[in-house]
Amino acid sequence: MKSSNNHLAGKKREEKPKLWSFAIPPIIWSLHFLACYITASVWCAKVAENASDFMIVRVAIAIYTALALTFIFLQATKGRRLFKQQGLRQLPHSDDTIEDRNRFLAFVIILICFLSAVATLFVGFTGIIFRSCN
Amino acid sequence: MTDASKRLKETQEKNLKKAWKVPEGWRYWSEVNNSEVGLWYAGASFCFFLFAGTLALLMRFQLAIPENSFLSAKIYNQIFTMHGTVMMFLFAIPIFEAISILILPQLLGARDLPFPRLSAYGFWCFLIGGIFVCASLFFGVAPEGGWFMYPPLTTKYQPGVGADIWLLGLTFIEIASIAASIELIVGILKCRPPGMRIHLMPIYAWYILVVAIMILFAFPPLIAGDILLEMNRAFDWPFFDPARGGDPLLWQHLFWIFAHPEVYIIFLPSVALVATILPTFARRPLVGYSWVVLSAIGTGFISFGLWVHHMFTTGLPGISLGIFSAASQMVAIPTGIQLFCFLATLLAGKFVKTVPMLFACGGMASFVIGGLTGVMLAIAPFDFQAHDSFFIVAHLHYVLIGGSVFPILGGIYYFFPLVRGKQLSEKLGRKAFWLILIGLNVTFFPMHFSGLLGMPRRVFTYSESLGVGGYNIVSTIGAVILATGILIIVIDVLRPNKRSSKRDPWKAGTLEWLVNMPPGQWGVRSIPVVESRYPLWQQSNFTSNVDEGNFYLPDAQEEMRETLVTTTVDARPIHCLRVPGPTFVTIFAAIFTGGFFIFSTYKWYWLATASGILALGFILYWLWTGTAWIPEKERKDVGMGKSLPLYASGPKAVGWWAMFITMLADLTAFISLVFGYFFYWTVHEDFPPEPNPGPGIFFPTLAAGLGVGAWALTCLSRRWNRLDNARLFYFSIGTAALMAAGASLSLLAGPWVTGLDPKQHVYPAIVWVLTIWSALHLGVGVIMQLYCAARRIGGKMSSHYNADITNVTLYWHFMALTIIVTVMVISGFPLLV
Repeated sequence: MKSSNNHLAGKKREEKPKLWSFAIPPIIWSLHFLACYITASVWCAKVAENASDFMIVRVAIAIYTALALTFIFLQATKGRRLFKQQGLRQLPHSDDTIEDRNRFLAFVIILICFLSAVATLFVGFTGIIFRSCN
Repeated sequence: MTDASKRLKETQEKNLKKAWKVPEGWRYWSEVNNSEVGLWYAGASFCFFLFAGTLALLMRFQLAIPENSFLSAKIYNQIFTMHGTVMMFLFAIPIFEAISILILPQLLGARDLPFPRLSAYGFWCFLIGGIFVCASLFFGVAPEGGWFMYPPLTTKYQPGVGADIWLLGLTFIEIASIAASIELIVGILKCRPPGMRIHLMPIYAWYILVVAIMILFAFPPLIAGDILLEMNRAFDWPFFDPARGGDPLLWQHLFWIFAHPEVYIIFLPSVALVATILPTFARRPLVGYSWVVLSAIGTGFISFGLWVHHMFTTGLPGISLGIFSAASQMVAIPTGIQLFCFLATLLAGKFVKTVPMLFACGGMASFVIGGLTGVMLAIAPFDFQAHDSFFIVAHLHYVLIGGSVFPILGGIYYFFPLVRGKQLSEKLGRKAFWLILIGLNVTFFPMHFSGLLGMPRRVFTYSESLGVGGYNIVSTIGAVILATGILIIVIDVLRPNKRSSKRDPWKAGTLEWLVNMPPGQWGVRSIPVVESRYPLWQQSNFTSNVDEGNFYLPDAQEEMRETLVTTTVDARPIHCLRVPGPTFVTIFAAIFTGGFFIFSTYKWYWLATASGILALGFILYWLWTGTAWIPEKERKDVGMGKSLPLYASGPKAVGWWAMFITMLADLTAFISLVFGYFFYWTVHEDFPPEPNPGPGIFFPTLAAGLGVGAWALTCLSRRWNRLDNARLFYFSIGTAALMAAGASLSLLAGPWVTGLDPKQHVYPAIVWVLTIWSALHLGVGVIMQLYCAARRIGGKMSSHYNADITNVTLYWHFMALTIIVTVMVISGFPLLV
């Protein structure tokens, strides 16, 4: 049997990672997604008159994408820092210790940042491809 | 073991038995324990599955040959509408809630989930609503507009009550889903066993947490849409009538903002079953636990960015289609990661060939076929060609049967011993599996071809000249094969003389298999300390320690039902929660809640109002007698030398979390209505109209002032209650209630005095809806404030035992936001435009 006191022994050095930090990168993606969609649809419904106007939408999407990627990168950096603080160790990070808990949290945050960045780029590419509302 | 310790153990078990005893005779139906409610829930939703499956067979008989007259067009329309509706709303989502309510407490080593009465209420709402909706078919009044209920088909061309039954019946059922999601989120976050840190949580719990959160944000837009469509039908408010400024596309947005995530709400819990079954029969832990958690969260989020791919042919701007097409293709990445992790688990472990394993693997293989056609359909130009054809029918059935039904059937075989203490037949199970797998492919694979050849869906027959007769007869034969497989499972489940199961029959590693055979009512003998992801495999003497009562809560001295509340991340025990026992009040509350919706369907509004008031009365009685009990002592010895408080308020209390989660869902519904307002702004040149007809500035601003004042006074009430200043508490809470009532009235006065006629144009209609929404919520806020005052007068709330006022203050935080946004939208926005 593993030491039944492991989870109590680790208490002294315990940090307080937030569970919702998992949600921050995909929320950034969601905001980016909504910003792109709302900008494009409002522009096409209310403003669009000629092709040159549309450049504003493309620039806006580019700015949103750059901002979103920056924020996601910052989250990933935080995750990486937390991961490094625990000392590098292979998966599966399943020991009953604070360190493995933090490794797990940090690793998942890094993965989610990566996924969110790819998803942001997917959506951002529409700004490159489309040169008018249609 | 000494005689004394033997006697102690016997006494403890006797106490636990008494506390968790299931009522007998007719009182059995008053039970609220997860094991009973979960079983009823699962049984009822499976019956609805059989009903909807029978409807599918009837459709297949009709389509077997060209120009068939087995079913009339009207009956066919009702049947395909009910097939989709029942499968989605009465089977696919409820069965996941049922399975979760049934097994999650065991999986978490908890005695019960934190709100058993809420689960029971949800179940009764589901059952009453489900019977109401299904029964309409036998009276020839069932809805005919498809499970998606698109206007103007459902507003202009269907004058009967069918669409109302759909709208009000399903809104009623959605209450059950939101109730279950509250129960599951709080259960997973707060009722894990001590030591089960977030990274040791069973993967099933991770999936269910993600899905339950998704429900909170997916269902409310549909509720908002239901409100608008029902207002359109019942009172002629023109939300979807283009002649008066409405737009049918708004319904499509609201419906698909719900319905696309719903596909993942159905799919992810089934993947959770696969992720639970595979490691057991691979005899090793899941490979890539962190990656699978990533995939669950990622899929959950991205699924909210796909809804427009159901609307590719509605004429939206190309760039909008591009954005949604990109997200739709993107979702394949996290989905694929999960599947690769499952394959890796099988490669790294063994492959014990059992019925659950066959269903899990067969399901995932079939799902991949549907997933690949899904990626094809995410590409807009391809979708333009395949839209509304049988190609889509093939795609969605591969996804839903492979991704959802197969794992559920595997889950039935896997968890049956846990629930009934008996094992289903391996022989019958294998036969059923092969018949269903063959049936699925024979039925749906030809539909790819019939669809590409131009066979439209939702049409009751087709011409011979279309050249799809051969494909259709094959599909019908396949449907019969598939149904035979399902029938074998039904026979297996119902047949008597099943083999008794031994304990942990599959040699699994997760906590639910601690259960004794036959299973007892109390769940686990003592709530264990968990230190690994597969404690039955990885912690020595674990089962014997649990059985000996060496862990937490081995006793129920006061003969009350108790479980532990732990911290969110590290699962440190913080509170001993007493959960309420059997009651009929939840049934009555559900019956009268149902009455409100059912009477409204037939426009018997006085009866509906009376029923609604009775429902409110029963809910208040339930809250008064069954929540925030003041305990007879401050703390209780829970075993392992630990003593825990018996009362909690604020974020430590499960009730606070339930309020927070409920209000998130409520806020989402409100935001959906606000979205409606701005949607009309985007599609009209003159929205809000110029000159602005109302609701003016004065009354809405007054309402905002009074509402914010009521919020501030509610916050002060909480403070004065905590400081035990009774006089100031009663003064502030009373004044807050008066101000809130004033805010509600002055909010309604805005459109009233400016003479906004909601039937005339969509602008006054949407202003009225936002106003009524906020005014009703202010009314609920008043009831809550008065409830708190009454609780203190009745000695059920004090400066120390203050959960009620803390939760009500939380409600009012959301209320303040709601009223500010409402006033900014209805009064502020017209000034900007």
